[in-house]
Amino acid sequence: MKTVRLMGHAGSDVETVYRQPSDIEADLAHDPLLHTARQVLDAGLMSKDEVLSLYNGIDGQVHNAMENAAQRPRLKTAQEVAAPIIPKPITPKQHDNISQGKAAPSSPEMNKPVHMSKMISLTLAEQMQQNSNIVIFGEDVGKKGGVYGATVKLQQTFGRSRVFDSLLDEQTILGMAIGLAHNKFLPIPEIQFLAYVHNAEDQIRGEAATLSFFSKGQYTNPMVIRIAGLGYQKGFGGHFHNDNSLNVFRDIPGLIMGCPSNPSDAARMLREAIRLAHEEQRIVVMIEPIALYNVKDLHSDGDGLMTAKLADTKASLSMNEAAVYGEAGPCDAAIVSYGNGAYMSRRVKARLEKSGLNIRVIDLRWLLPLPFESLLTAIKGAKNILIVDECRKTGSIAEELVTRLYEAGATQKMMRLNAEDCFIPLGSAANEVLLSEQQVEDAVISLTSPSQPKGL
Amino acid sequence: MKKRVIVVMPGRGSYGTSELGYLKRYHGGQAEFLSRGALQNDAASISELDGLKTFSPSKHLAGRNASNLIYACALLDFQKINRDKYEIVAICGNSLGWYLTLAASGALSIENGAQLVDTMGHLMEDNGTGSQFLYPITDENWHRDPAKTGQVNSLLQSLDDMYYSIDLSGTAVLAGSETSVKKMMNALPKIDYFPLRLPKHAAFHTPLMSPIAKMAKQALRQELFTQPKIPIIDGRGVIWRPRSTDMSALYDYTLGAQITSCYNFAKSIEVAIKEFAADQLILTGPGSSLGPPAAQELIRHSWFGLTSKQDFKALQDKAPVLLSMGREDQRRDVI
Repeated sequence: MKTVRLMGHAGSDVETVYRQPSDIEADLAHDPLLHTARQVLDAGLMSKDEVLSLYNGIDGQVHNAMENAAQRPRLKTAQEVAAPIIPKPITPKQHDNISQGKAAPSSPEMNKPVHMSKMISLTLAEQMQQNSNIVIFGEDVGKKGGVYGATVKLQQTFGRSRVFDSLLDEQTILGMAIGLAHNKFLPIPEIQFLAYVHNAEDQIRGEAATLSFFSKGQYTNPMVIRIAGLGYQKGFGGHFHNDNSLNVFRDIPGLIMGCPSNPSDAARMLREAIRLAHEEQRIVVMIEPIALYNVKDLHSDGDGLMTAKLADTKASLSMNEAAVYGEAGPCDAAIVSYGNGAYMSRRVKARLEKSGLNIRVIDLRWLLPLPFESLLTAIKGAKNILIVDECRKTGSIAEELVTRLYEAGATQKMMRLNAEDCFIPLGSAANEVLLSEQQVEDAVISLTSPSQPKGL
Repeated sequence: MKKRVIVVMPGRGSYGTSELGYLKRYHGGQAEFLSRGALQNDAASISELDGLKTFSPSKHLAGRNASNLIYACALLDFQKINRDKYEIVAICGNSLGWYLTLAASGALSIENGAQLVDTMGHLMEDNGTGSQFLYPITDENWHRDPAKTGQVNSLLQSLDDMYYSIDLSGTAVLAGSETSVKKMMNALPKIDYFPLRLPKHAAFHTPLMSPIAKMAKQALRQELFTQPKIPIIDGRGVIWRPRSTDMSALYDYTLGAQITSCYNFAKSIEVAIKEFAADQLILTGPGSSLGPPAAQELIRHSWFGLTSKQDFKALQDKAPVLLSMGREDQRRDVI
């Protein structure tokens, strides 16, 4: 491999220490600027003096720009430095409803109880109808309607310029989202599996999330990134299609992340995510639990408690609102969870309440930032706290919750459950490393029994 | 070492009562080079107008006369800038000032510049419709006041044929049909003598000027334009550089979008200061009315460390960053 390098990497890199002067000179002879100057002279476009005066003019400009920059006021507090991470909200132009034939979604669609993936596609249709800037793309989101049907019928309704299939490449997908957002579109890209997002981590971490910060809020690239993820899916197996760690997002300043556990929340959170991007210029990641996409029942076959009607979910869910299942006041245990964990915990709650325990389930819904004030209110009166976090143990949300609850002075007995620090394997072996409903049930019993539980 | 300067060329409102006699005072008689051949035969002599004993709005503010007078004053001022002391790194201007910018940079010869200015002045005077008025949108510190801008923007949205004509930083220049201008001026709260109608101005830089843009293209050929010798910044903040300017694009912009859409003077100043890293700004005469808008833009971007009107005044007293050739005291430093 051969590389021509002009000058050291940085001011502190003194090339002469480790390279022969003749080699350095030979490389300098390849300077593209010199070649260009020669070509300009050969073509008779400019005289030598003109070339030099242009060169010196630019030198003066750069020098002055440097001097000016050095004289700019310094940022003096952490608060000042961090302020532009979160862009200033704008007042977006009102978009006219796009009148192409009948309204989408139709009235029958809005009034039929549907499971989560269908609800997401209906909500996307509703939002696309209201905002002509929304563009949806990703692997198979078009004609196929998404690998799990969360974008079904959108291309048919809104056309190929607004809903289209991308390459099977996450850098393309998120890179395109950044470019579209720079150009005032509102991109809602889909990443087919959480495990795939790592291929394009830096498009979020190093690029999209930092734009407002390093441009002092002058530039933004708002978007809503939908990602199908987490464990327990039946079908695609192995660690290439299953991932249960959200840590790639959790330390990115300014990023927002939500994770709905049921269709009603999914619609309301997606609406809020789109509003946050559109009006507040934020970058929002929505983690959609694959295993819950098609679930219709909560406790028993046919109860339909995991379905909802779009017509009943008109509002949005703000970022500081956790869901509370159970009455306020004293209770034996509060289970704090999200996603699949929230689904499992609600089932455990129903079972254990038959045996006389009074249990409250708190579904965090928003994972970044955590709806912490709402959580503190929700745990009031609970004797014990069980954190059910389906993600891998190390660096988990459970760790953050325990730390922050301790710092906030929570006095309850606490316990946390996580998946093992292991990749998700193929087939039924996956159940060995993922958190199970039985573990949740056992933990509640252990925590609420008079003997000392095996805690933290 | 030479100071790097940006030169700012004035607009239509710059030759007022106190500018009467400007040419005689600073450029004794030289203006006649403009009237020889370049100006059409029926144009009033620039020196004659400048030399009148009293200021006459009907004569001095009439579109064609005003344009020609300002062209002569500004271009002659530009030629007097001391090039041993100052390196002109870029030129921009406001509205009419764009034509002056073209001429100062060499994108138009002095004669062709005079022809463009006279033709446009003529066309506007004969065919311009609607009118234009000023309204301040800053507080006492020269910071933009969101309440005032909000009010201006919501009125603009609610009225037909009403447009943001020039972004003059702290002052909104608004233009539209007579009816809408009246409505908008009545709706805005009075601040001193604002909203202030600009006499003999049409609805410049709005779609109402589309017919004039068409006439201008018929009257003026692209061949009048040549490569600028100094970088220039237009009313969108676009930079046109020596040797790489697309002449047909420059012609199209100048006699197209420039005439029919908002002239963003604020943006041109922002681009000038940020892109060209100048030490100072020089405003040619006549007058010095672009001083406050240019300063407001410096403050808006905290340039030269300025954050308020008070800062600006203090710095001007100590080491001026904005030199107005229309002001006796500052002119001395420039020539």
